[in-house]
Amino acid sequence: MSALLEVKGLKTYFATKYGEVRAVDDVSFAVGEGEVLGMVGESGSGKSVTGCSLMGLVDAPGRIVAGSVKLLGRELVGLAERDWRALRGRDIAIIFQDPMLTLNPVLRIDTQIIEAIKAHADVSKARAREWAAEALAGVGIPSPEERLTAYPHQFSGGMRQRVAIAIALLHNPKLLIADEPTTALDVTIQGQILAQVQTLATKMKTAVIWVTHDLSVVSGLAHRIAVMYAGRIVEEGRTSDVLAHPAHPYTRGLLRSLPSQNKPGETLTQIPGAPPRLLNERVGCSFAARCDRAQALCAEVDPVKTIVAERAFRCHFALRPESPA
Amino acid sequence: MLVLLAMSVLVFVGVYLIGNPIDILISSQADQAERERAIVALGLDKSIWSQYGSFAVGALTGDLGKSFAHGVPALELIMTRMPATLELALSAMVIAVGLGIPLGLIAGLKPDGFIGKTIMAASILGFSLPTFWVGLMLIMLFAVFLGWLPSNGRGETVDLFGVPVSFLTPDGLLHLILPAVNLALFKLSLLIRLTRAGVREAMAMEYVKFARAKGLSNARIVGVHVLKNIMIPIVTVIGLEFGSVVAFAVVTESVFAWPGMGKLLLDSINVLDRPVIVAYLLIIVSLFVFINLLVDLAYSALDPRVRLADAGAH
Repeated sequence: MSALLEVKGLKTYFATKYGEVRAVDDVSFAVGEGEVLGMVGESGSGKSVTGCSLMGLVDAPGRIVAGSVKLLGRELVGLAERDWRALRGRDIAIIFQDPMLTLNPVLRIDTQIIEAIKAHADVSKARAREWAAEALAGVGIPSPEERLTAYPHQFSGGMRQRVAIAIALLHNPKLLIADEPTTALDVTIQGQILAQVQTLATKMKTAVIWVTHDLSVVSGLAHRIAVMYAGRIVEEGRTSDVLAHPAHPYTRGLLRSLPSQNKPGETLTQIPGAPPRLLNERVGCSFAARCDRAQALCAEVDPVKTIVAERAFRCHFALRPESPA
Repeated sequence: MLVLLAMSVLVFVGVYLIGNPIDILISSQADQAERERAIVALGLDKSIWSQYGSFAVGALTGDLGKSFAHGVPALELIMTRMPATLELALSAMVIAVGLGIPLGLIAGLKPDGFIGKTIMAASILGFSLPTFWVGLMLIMLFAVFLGWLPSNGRGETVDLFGVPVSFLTPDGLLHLILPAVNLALFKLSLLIRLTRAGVREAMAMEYVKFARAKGLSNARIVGVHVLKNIMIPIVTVIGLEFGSVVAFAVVTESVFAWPGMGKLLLDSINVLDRPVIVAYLLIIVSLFVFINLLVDLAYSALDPRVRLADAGAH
């Protein structure tokens, strides 16, 4: 797979009155054409900010301070707003977490779809309408022509997320960023949305970055997984490898927190403590305080990225593949 | 209707308590017999409740009583003055809305910019300076020192559908500017602040982010997505404020000697012309009720969620 998206040393900081918050701190990864990358991490680990950085949608006071994001070889960091606008919705699209909030409550569905069509395609009104109906049908919304004239509040949460997906995929983007799109939905609807995105992405050869805090969601979907912690990718590799043999203690902790990994009646395993604040200069490994394998070295020296075979991780005392997960 | 009934009782009793119009209306040289005759003629010999009774019966048939001072029906008197007030109030609202929303948008989109801060500082002045003082200052500056604009009266009027209006003649328009600006100032400040708050809130919403992610232009996002969402509170305030602009044009009308209803009210209070005062207040109350109805109707046009109740569940 040739690299569609290449992110190198991305740093997105937020200037606050307490100092700079390093939400995304030196993140590098690549996504190939048609590949699904699962980006996993706790709340506040920087995964959503990474997604927004790729769209040029980081709100003030946040900004990308360093790094490079290349889409098909074209540098996106520092792009003018005009060029961004031409790119968004056409080459890169995003769907957000809460479908109740992503659609404008006072505009009809057709207005919201057609404006997205017209932003990138010079088509007649009739054609745009037809296109909009096709898009709705494509995400499994029954009687799409009728539903076009409805308002968002007349749809259920799952249906709204389908509308958002339909809008995101209108122009057959090369990359879709899915920012926890199933978190706010029922489990049954979650499955449907997952399947929908998977089918469409495969059909259109769209690469997907699926951001989630739920490992079980991406386990059946993603080709590769990147685990984020405190603004960094601490482990990255093929999904099956990472799930079966996590190298980073944090990944292992996440896996053990999954209820399905537990025998009934046994207490659930937790990762002790909370993620660190991202304000201060990084000293040592940011997971050290919560890590059961941490040693003196961990508190002093920030682990560098180690690459073994197709795995990348940042840990001084990484778990060996044969050690039990 | 209940509001009108309650209001009429309150107003009637209130006005009754203020003072006895006989003392003002009848000259001090009049003898006792003349005095008695006048009291009976005006119906002031009866108890307050029987006075209210006959007033209420008359009001139901559209008769709000005759002015003590002018001897013509109070309603008619007010109606001849109403166009002037409505014209002034409408002009003020046009200025307030026409300037307030754009300025509020600018201040909301660039809250930390120099222009945004200047607009907000100016709106604080508009809020806190008393209307009559600003009116006097406007007269001082534009009428006395600069001599650009006339300071009192309506100027030349022309009839539009049988109603005299000022804004269609150059002279009338000049006369309208100062009082309309004066009256608009407070509402303008209010609308600026309201729009700014709405814009700031809406810009942070996820649907705005999603709209940006669709690759829409800023003009479309602000002009359609944001504006349509903030129109709901703005329409409410415009409606309510229009009522109060009409009602409280009193101060501006007296400062600029604008011959409207407010001026009439002041004159009527001075001579304790009860029927006119009562009729004026009832008209204002009806106006408020009517405007609220219009605002509610505007809601359902603006917010699809309000329409849901009668559209049925989908």
